Amino acid sequence: MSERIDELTQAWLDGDLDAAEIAEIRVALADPQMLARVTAHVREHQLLRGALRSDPASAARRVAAVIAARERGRPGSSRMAVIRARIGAPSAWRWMAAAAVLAIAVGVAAWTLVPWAAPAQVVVAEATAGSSLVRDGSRIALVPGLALRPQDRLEIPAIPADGAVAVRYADGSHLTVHADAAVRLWDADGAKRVALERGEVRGDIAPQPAGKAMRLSAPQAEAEVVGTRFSLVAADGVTRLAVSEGTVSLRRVDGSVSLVHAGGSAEAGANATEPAPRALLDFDFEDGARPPEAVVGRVETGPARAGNRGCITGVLDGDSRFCRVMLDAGEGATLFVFEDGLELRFDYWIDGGAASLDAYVWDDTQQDSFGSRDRFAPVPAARTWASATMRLDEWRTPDGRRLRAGDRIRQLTIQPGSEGGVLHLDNLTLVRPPGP
Amino acid sequence: MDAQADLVDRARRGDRTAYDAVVSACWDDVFAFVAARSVALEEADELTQEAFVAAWFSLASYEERDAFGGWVKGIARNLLRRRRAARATTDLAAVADMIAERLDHDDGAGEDDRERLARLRGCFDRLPEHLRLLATKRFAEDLPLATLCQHLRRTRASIANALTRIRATLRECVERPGSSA
Repeated sequence: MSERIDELTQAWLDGDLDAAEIAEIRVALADPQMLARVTAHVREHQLLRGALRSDPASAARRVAAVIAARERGRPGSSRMAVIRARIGAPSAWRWMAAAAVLAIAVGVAAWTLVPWAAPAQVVVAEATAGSSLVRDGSRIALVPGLALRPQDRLEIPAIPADGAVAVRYADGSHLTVHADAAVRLWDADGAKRVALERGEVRGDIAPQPAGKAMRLSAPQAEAEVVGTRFSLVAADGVTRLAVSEGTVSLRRVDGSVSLVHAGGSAEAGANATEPAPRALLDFDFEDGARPPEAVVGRVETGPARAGNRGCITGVLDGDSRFCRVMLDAGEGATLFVFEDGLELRFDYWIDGGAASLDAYVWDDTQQDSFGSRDRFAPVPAARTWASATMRLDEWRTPDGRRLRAGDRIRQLTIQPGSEGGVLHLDNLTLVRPPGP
Repeated sequence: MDAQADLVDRARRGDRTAYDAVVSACWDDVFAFVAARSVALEEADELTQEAFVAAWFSLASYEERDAFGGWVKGIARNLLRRRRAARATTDLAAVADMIAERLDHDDGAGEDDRERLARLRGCFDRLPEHLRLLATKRFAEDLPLATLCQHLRRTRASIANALTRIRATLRECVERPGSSA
């Protein structure tokens, strides 16, 4: 019985009960033990959802917006009434009781009397007739000027095929949601968030603040944007990203990552035509923050590149005379596990006359260093950005030993092949190319 | 006067910025209280917000000897009860009400909700990435199970199993002695 009630509870939490099962769970709940069991599951479920969604800072902004809206909409408002009441209220306890009633009355009355004036962060700019949003279970027509709330779900009908809804953010960014799409937009502590259930969105996104990259999630992948033009399409089991300006990273549900530069595209999903390399490491430094693994190096703007905002710059470390970047998982931790076919890819900019780049790892399993020294193609040109790809299964120790599948790698270091100079790195990924 | 009491005092004098800070500081506590007594998260989010709005309009009646968060929880509890009373009388609503009533009457059960919430976040961060992504899609973005199945090209049983594994892993992690955020 317990197993069955657990099954029914999970189905209920997933919104997946049919009428017979609803009746079944209702009967079962007459048993106090079963009720306690179900209640425990529900509490756990709610706390989990709460843990993932609670966002006090943006919640505070929502609360402030509602208060402002209600005060604007109610001249001589209930706020004023409360203040007057306080002036003439000698007995706190008496008012305590009255206040509970007043608080609810104010909330409910104001809600029905005052039209919603949202945080003004996302506003509908244009909308095709027939487009709507679902708010609190009700359907509302989308019209220009309507402010969106975090839980709103926008639905754009399939007909007309050229229908669309454009929304405008306070920072001037635009997002266009095309026909036959369902999408939700919200704010996570100042960072833009979009969940695309199906359809297509196109964005023209203003540069986003450091650490506040815009994230768009689709069924098979998540795109991270710091300021660019792009389109993201979710249809027929495939999520497709195309970038016309800047760089966007696409993280798939299976954990693999593609960095898509201007003019490029990437796909995710079982029907994707482009096989996805699996990324074990992925750093684009676009948010301006130094990843915790980057124990040596400084994240900064670096030499200019269109649409790019950050890179990591090598620094002199300790007694070293090499300007290096080092990733380190920390004592006893693993940066990645070696496997055959791994490729280290990165963009680099070097100055100071270095004729080559040197990269090496510390292997915790074999307790030795394996590197690319003297095996990497010469740097093609100083003071320009170039791309490098290195196969880790070609790396050796000085006595010729190679990395073995399953080796736990703790550190990765990249530095110029000779002393001095400046090294900038960007879009550093460690990928396993798709198999045949 | 401690920092929060000072903020509440400033809010009572109409300082909105101070009230923003109060809401930020108390949100998790009140939200955890409401979420643990709600049958739908949307309801928890909305009711918590409504409780803080109502509290602003009733600040005059707040007694400083009570914890501010506790006072807002009282407002939230009233809102929960009103919401339940207004719910339609279907079989599904009856199930929801039985559970909500039990959640409401589990005296003291909510005392550690905030801590549990914090521990859950810590445990969630330690999940393998593919499970984190799935959990985010299901629990944070609220994608329905059917949508997940369709888009991930996985069977309902496979997704349901993965979700059950996520819940079990998190439960075990949260209850493990010494687990922390």
